[in-house]
Amino acid sequence: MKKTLFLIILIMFPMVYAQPSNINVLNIKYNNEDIKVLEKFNTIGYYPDRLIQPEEGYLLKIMSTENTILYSFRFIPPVNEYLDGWDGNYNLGGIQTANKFNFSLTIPSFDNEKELIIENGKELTKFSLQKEAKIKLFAWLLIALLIGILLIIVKEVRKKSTKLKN
Amino acid sequence: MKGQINVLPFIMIFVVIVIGATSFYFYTKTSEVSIAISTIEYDNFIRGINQRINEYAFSKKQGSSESFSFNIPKNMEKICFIDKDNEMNQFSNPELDLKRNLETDKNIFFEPNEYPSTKLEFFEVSDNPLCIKPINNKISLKFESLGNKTKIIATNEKEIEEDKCIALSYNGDVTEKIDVVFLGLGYDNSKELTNDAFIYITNIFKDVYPINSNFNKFNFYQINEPVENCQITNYIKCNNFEVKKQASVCPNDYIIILTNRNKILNIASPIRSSAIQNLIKVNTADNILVLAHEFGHGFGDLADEYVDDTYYSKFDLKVEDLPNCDKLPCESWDNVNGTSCYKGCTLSNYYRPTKNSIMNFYFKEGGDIFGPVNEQILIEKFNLYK
Repeated sequence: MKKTLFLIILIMFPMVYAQPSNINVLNIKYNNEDIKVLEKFNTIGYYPDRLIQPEEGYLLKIMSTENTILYSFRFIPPVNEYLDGWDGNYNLGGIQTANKFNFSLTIPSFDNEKELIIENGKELTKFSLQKEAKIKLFAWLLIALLIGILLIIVKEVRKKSTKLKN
Repeated sequence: MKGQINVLPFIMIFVVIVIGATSFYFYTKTSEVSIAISTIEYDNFIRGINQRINEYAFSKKQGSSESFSFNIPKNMEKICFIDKDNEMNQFSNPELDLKRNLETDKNIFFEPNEYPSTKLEFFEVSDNPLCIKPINNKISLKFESLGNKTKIIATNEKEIEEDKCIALSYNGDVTEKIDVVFLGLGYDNSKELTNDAFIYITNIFKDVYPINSNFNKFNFYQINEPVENCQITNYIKCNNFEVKKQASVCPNDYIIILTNRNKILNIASPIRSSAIQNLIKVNTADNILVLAHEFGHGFGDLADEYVDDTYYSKFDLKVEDLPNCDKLPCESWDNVNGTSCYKGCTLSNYYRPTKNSIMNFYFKEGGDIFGPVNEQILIEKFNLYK
């Protein structure tokens, strides 16, 4: 009971308090402007306030189960990494640009979140944020497994009874 | 015989159901017994602690102390004591901070959450909060009489859980401030990281204009757990996902990874500092101003003012995307005092506002200031924070 209450409060926390809160850290694959969310890590912690956002760029939206936007922000994938150094004689500075890499974004997590959508003019990717998705899949797999076992038992028993009859 | 019902499959199904139901029944009963035992152990632990606190607060001579071992429930992973009357680390651990904010009347918290938080009186703690991880279902605590209070001290260093996040300099609400978190790579201990973090805070954030005049808009934190997902090649290459996961225990608008490097070793094999959006990686053997340069990239989105035609010319770089560069006749900073139009800014056919600056050769003469144009760009961004 206590645990359930804590979880309920925890899920509601991002809306009530500023921080810390329930968050998702996303692992995202970027491949020549194509974007795909690979995985999420759900924990309690902090996400950046994002007071500075690009005027243009990719838009990430967290959608609710009622299809409303719970949170959104613009971002640019980190295509450029500025490298700097000085060996005493020469400037070692420069830029490293990549078209294919993984990057990460830390976003808030909400109790009624359904999925996140990333778009850049058009919708590029969707990623389910629902916690029960995996549990549902597991339940279906378990039911399928049980049905399978029962069918095997029935088949084996029938085979034996047919042999006995013969 | 045709039409005869074969009952064997139904018997088999019935047997499976009976076995399943019996297993479930015994599992539930075992769990209930286990919960009951844990509850008794939890109650005993609270009673025992309370008894010792009161004994050392009121019955023992001031200054006297003794260590005691307490049995705790088998699956209890952590116990945190908080002294709400004294100063404490507000960012020690996100889970604990959350519980503390939700249950303001409690001062002892447990993990997992199935154990209810509680409140005991008349105690102080050696570290605030004092979080202890049991070893073999036991914890050792020392009780010291302070007159009308008891000081609780952890006696086994292995049991003490280090704070996940430490505030180095706190100026206010994390939603309104620029939260900078330091992580360490190659440090022997967290104290060395703290020392280096303060060197950068003092010499960059408190010293370089316009960052220094906005110092009260920053909060600084440190994460003691060393960074493990970075490789050092000719620069510091990190697994972005793992670093962000690690940084999420502290407020993290900007993440700075300090890489502890020996200066002599660095001459033989120099590695480069870098900035990739809000993640800044600094080689500590590099000139200290490299952090200001990388902060210019990360926070101000400022471009390099030095020229690297061989590399940059490969890309279709538009001058509009380089806020501190322009084409002739440098109309962008026409009205800005102390500027001119110097050839070379990322590409040799673009122009920069000052001869040298932090965004240019920060290690050479005149490279210790941002210069008027960069300052203006940074100030505009600082104005978004309170």
